[in-house]
Amino acid sequence: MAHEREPLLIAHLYPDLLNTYGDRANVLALVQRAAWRGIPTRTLTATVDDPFPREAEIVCIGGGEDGSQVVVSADLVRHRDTLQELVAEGLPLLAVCGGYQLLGTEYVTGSGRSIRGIGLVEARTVWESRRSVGNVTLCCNALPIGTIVGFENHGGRTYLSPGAQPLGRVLHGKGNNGRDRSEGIIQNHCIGTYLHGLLPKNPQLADWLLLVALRRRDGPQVTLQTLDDRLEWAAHRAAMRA
Amino acid sequence: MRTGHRATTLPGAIALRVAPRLPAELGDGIASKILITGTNGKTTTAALLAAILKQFGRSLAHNRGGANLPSGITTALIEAVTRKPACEAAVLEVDEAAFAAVCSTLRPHLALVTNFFRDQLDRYGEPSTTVALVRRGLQALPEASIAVLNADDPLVASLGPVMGLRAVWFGFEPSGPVATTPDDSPSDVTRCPCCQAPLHYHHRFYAHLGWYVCPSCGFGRPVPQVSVQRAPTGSQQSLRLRVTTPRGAALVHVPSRGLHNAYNAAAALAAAYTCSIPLHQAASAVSNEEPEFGRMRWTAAYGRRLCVGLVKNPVGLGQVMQIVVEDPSPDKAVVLFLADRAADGRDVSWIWDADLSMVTAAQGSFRRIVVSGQRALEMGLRLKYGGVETDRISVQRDLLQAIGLATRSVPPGAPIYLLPTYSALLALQSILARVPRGEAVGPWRTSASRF
Repeated sequence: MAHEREPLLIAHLYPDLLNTYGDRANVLALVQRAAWRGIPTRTLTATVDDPFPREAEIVCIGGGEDGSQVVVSADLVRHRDTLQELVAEGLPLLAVCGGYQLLGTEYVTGSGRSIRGIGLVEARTVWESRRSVGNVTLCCNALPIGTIVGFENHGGRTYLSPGAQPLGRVLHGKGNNGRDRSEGIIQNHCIGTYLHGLLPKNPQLADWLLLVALRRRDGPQVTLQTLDDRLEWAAHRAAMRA
Repeated sequence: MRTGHRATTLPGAIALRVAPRLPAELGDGIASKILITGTNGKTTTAALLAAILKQFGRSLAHNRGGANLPSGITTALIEAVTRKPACEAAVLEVDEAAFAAVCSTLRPHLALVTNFFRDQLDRYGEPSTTVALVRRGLQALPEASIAVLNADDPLVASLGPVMGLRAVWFGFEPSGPVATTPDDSPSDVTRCPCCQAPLHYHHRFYAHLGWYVCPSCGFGRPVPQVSVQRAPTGSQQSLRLRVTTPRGAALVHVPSRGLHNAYNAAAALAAAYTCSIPLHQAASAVSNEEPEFGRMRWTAAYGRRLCVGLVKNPVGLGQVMQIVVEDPSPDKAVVLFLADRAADGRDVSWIWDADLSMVTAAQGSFRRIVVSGQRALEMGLRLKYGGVETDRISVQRDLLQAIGLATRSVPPGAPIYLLPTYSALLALQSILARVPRGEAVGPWRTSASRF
């Protein structure tokens, strides 16, 4: 089947601006987990003023500092309609921390300044002085993938609109706002989360993104070959205890 | 050092509780006070500068153990002023977050800023927060004080326009053997710190250090008074630098490796220049100064050569691994120790920002790669996803057992690199003080888990 040899296109948006907390790991995990199964990938990067890589089959966005977020928010607006259309069609997208905040409707910073989000997900973020910092474990209710672990470090508190679906329920840590035990958001195949260092030690989530992308391209019969993930799961358990 | 090492912080901690004005009063009696801050290189730069000043028989206050919070600094001051002869100068490394407070208390004559890299993000938040903290310290400097600043780091250079600040800049000149980093390697700074426009680099030495200019607002690398060029050296173990100042030039031998150590030497020599110390005298002190413990200093245990190098942030880890990979020995082993205690930084995601491509390319040249510490598995994953084959990675959470594993994997005389985060560095110091230097059977119990 010739089409299976076509590389899977992974877009990394604003890698120069939104990259503060090891979020390169997410792209790396997708690339490697595809490669170990013989699925070739190609990583496309796009930053300020670049055209949106419409051909992308998975999109990753990382977190960044407030200054970078201002620059990105001004640019991301150009892609609002495209992203809305693609996510509605089922494009898998993963946005972490600052990237997650910008997918929402608005981010009110510490200085009271409002950074406009693109309203791709039903979430609004307001900065508070005490940062939420620490290891997080959540129970993912939205997908049949068990627990998700990572590290949160954010000043913003995110509130989901009524009816919006969080990625999971916080078992340990603060999550979206430290009040309602919700963490992240999932809307169609678009995921926003505060967790850094995410996909390598959550291989089930990485594989879910890969599977969604491959099924969207090659059809619902696609399955993923099982990998030896003993190291990944041991690291996952170590993070739960941390 | 934020945990342990009670002898280097406890007297100061008690003194601060009883007499908060004490450091200021102790400091008033010291003729010249130098503070050193920045993400990487504080300890080494302070040690080099102390060695330079000691040549003149000066009695020094110096927080040699790296105790760089107010308690440790106060301890060093108490220790120095109670000693005879009376303390004439202070060379103190200061934690970035404590820098502003220490500046206004001690009113230093000279403040040196090495660089800003991503560091313990859970403590400081984002890099720009650290820059703002240090800027506040520079604003608190007395009028006659001088700042010695790294011109090659745009974040440090953004401190230049502090009102009324007199600055002496140091920086590197590109030269033949300087390896310039490929453009796609990770960098903390890609945008102008003044206007956020993309920063243009003529040269990149490592990470975001280089020759840069902002085409949008004109912000650029200040012209350094002290400029340094790497000169060819015949040795694997040392560096040779051509140092040029407005008062003359010299070739300086530095008995350590890596471009980051070249920057540390440049920083110390620039501070010495600012203190009007003749270059040849400063150079001779630098050439005799062996690295501090934990800064790639060699020691011996169980008949093997051990090199201990603290790793605490992505750029530091990349620099240290580059040195390890360049070791031509066919029998080397490496132990990467990752912990997530407060002193290490609770967030271990920083390891994903380190450029470790050189390890992947050279994985066949290691007899063994061991990951150790509470978060050993995260480091194992970092290597696996970086392309190191899983069956080359041994996991042994216990530090002593990890050293044992590495020792058994290499023949006597072979090099073992131990690369711990902060909390493990302290543990290592006491472990290595106890173990035999010559060949001996260690107390090894267990083997590694393999995945």
